[in-house]
Amino acid sequence: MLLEQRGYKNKILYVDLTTEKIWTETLDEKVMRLLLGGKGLGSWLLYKHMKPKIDPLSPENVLIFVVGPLTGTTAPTSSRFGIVSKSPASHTFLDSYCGGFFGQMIKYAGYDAIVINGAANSPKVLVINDDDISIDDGSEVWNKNTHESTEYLTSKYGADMKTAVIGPPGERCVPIAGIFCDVRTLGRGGAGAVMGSKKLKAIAIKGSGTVEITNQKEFENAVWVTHRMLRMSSQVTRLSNDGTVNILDLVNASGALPTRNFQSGEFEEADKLTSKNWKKDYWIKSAACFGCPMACTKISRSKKHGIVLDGPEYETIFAMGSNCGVTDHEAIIYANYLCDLYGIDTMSTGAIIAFVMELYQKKMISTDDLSGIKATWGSGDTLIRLTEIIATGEGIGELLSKGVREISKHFPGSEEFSMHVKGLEMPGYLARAAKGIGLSYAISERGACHLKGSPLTEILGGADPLTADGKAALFKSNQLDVAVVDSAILCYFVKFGITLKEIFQIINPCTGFEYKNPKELEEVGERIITLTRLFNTREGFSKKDDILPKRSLAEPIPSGNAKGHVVELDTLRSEYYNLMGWNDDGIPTEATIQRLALNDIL
Amino acid sequence: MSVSAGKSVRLNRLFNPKDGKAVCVAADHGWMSDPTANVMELESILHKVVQGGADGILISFGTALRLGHIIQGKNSPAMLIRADWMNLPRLGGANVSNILPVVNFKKMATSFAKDALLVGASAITIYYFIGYNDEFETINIEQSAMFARECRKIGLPLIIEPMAIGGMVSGVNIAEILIASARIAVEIGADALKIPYTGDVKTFKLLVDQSRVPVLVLGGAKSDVPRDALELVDEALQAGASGTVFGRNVTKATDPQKMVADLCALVHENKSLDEIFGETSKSGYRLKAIPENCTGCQLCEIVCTQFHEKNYGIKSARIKIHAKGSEPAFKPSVCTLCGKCVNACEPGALTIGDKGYLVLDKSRCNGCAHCMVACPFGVITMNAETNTPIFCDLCLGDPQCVKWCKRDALTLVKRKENDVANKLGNEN
Repeated sequence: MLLEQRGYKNKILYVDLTTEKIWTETLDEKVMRLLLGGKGLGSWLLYKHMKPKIDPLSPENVLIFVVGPLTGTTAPTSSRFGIVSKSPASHTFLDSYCGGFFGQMIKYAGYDAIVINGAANSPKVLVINDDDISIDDGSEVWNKNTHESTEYLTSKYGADMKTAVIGPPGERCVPIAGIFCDVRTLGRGGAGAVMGSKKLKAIAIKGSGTVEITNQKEFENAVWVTHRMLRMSSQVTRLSNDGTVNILDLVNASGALPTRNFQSGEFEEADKLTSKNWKKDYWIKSAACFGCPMACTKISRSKKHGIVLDGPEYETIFAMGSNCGVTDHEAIIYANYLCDLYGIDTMSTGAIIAFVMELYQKKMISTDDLSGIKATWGSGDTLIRLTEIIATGEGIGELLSKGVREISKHFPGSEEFSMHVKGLEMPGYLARAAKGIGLSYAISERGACHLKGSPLTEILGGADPLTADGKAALFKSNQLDVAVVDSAILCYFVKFGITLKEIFQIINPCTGFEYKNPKELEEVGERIITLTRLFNTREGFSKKDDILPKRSLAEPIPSGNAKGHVVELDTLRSEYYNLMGWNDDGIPTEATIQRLALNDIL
Repeated sequence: MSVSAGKSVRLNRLFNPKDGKAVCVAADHGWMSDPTANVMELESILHKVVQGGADGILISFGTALRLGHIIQGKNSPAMLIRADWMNLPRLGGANVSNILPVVNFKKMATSFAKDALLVGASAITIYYFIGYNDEFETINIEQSAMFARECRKIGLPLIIEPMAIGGMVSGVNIAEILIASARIAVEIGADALKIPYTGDVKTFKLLVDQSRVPVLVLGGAKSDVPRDALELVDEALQAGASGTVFGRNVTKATDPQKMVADLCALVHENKSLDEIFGETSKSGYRLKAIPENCTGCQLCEIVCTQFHEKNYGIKSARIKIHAKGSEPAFKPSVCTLCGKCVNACEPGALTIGDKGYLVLDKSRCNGCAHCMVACPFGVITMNAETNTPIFCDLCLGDPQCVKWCKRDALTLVKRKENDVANKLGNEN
């Protein structure tokens, strides 16, 4: 059977913005069986198409939109799509995923991936209407914020167009700029800056096609079971009822809730930030992404600011809340709103503000340096003011928007508490309070990230978070699982209700690849992780870069459940390299490359 | 060695001798549940469970002392005693049901088998945890074997409940671990198993086949959709299970007695789920949307397309979800069988048939698209190739959108006669 009848569209769309040339190519079945789609396909295309060691903001960077075989089907969370590129924040492999209503349109328009090369001379909008594609002038919409840009596109091209836009920070190539797809975001790692560097302001897409699969009857039965399992999972029910923030009390109880720039893991006012407070005063409605039975989105309304937004999510609440010592709900909502409006990542923005607050606490930065802003812990006004200048690039905001690593270069002595890995600011689970999670931040291919296999189960009770024993294996198992999820593509949250076994049971009747067992699918994940590692190796990354900030390694946690702990990175990292078949320097061995058949496709 | 006479007598009290199956209810959640109704009002719930016709009730030793009298009658359910427990509520205020905090996780015996015998038990139930770490597994095997020896001595059946826990349990090994744990439990001396469903009939059948003792599937956390829980039992029965031990899905149900009766209908009377849920005939119904329940996921549109077009998409969906306003409100547009299209169809090709849904006589359709224009909800489109309308036919009486929308944003309501060809209601 043709790939077109097996969950794929068998078509990659290429757009070269320098030459304005547009063409398509077919997929290679062998590659697809080995890498599945999504992250797998994207990393392979990036490895093949991109010259090593280029500047991520140069025309030579490649921005790839990917979907997977399950996208657009009845599989739960089938709206998901990803972008793959080289990150302007970390200069590593970058992948980022997004829900909403954009992803399935890529598939319905007839593509498994959209590869964007080169750079335009003047602002452009890419318009895709099935196979009718144009590169339109985008001068009118340049400089507009994300809301105005989205509105511009839907009024010009039709309300049924799904959109991906960048805001002014993306245009300025700020490394914390994201791509905004209506109310959903590709936030981390600076994909917005890559789009900006190409002068691509926006993409509007509409597809009228359909997806065909191998064995519909078997697929439908297996898909029904996945939906049922998600409905019956108590973790999904919590997510559905109480949003992503439902875990905040657990994280705090584990002593892992980053507080005041990751100084401690226990926030004395954590109770104010838990679901019940948001629910009581701000949430007005639950909403779902396309094809998702979970509906974790909680739409908040701030009467004070007269705004409505999707969120704030857990990661925003930690980053702008506990990590800045802030409990002012209105301020967190408004700062989140500003990030969305201008088009920057809330997590990195929160981490930057927390870093500035610690600089201020340590008297390394003054009110004068900050254009009159008093950067005291816990101030909601400061949170909003700093978010504003980071978003607009006004005054010192220009430096701040470059991220914690760049800022710390200007403040000697601050490296020890500049909380990033490879230039990407850290997520919302204190590394020292959960050893497997700590390891994952050091290893993750895009810099500190909780979505690349961090064993969050450590905090949810699945393993003792304070021991390093067995954590390399635990992380590896999670990492490979997530790589499959990101290639299928499903949402990260399906892991709260189904396992790789159920994904295996829907992937086979969809693709007809006849993987023998979940283990073989896990090996697909291992292949993909190794491929992204080979990309980073080619870029010059190795063990020396798989590190954590000094605070995580040498500053024992002062209080809480994890009091006295640091991350024992050396042992964990060596153990992990060993399990992956990478050498002592973290580089995949020839034997590993052959075992995973990567030599056949690179 | 064959099962002792004592064990045999007591197992026969639990398993219905006619079909060898049992519907049991676990009511030992006082150990860990928040003080919700299933703990606070256990007495009245137990009465309802008895009335529902359960074959066995699992309770703690303490509850047996206080409320054991409820199940002492001649025909009352067999009493099963939970003989061990673990230090589950470790996280204090942050404790979350069904999340096992593994830090300092311990399991201990809470009563001897002979104590259970004294309060009238027909069997005891114990946990057997697997997949956490070597030391913990060893303790579990040791303790299970201790109970098995004791049970053998006094002729009391032992039901072992294998649980795969810990971070290393993954999709790659979950089925294998459960199957292995069932086998180990039997080797230790289990007379029956209480075990989670593996998630699919194929692997659960392997588990049942390898166990060689009756397998009772457990229900887990309370499911918001009762049919989901029963569907799981149905699949387990197909795989050869001997019944079920349902806890929170019964004790937290709005009507515990009905839930038990439904389980009995499924397990003992071989009734189908459609029979139990009264969904055999949907004639005379129409769709009704309840917009406030809609999350805007459009799953209805995909399943509609899948059913009718045998592919996945939304363009040909006979139902549309609209998002409106800055505070998004989702509004499903559905065919309400209002009849405007029927009235607009001059050749009389489109009618509401005997079975109560729209049917098209293609030979009479002239492709005029008046039906599409007439549809007040915009859910009729034209097929450009065949030049005939694409319209909702209620999936020939079994609307997939209703089946998949478990948020009850789409429901079926009885159609009134005057719905057709009458003024347009605002109900859609």
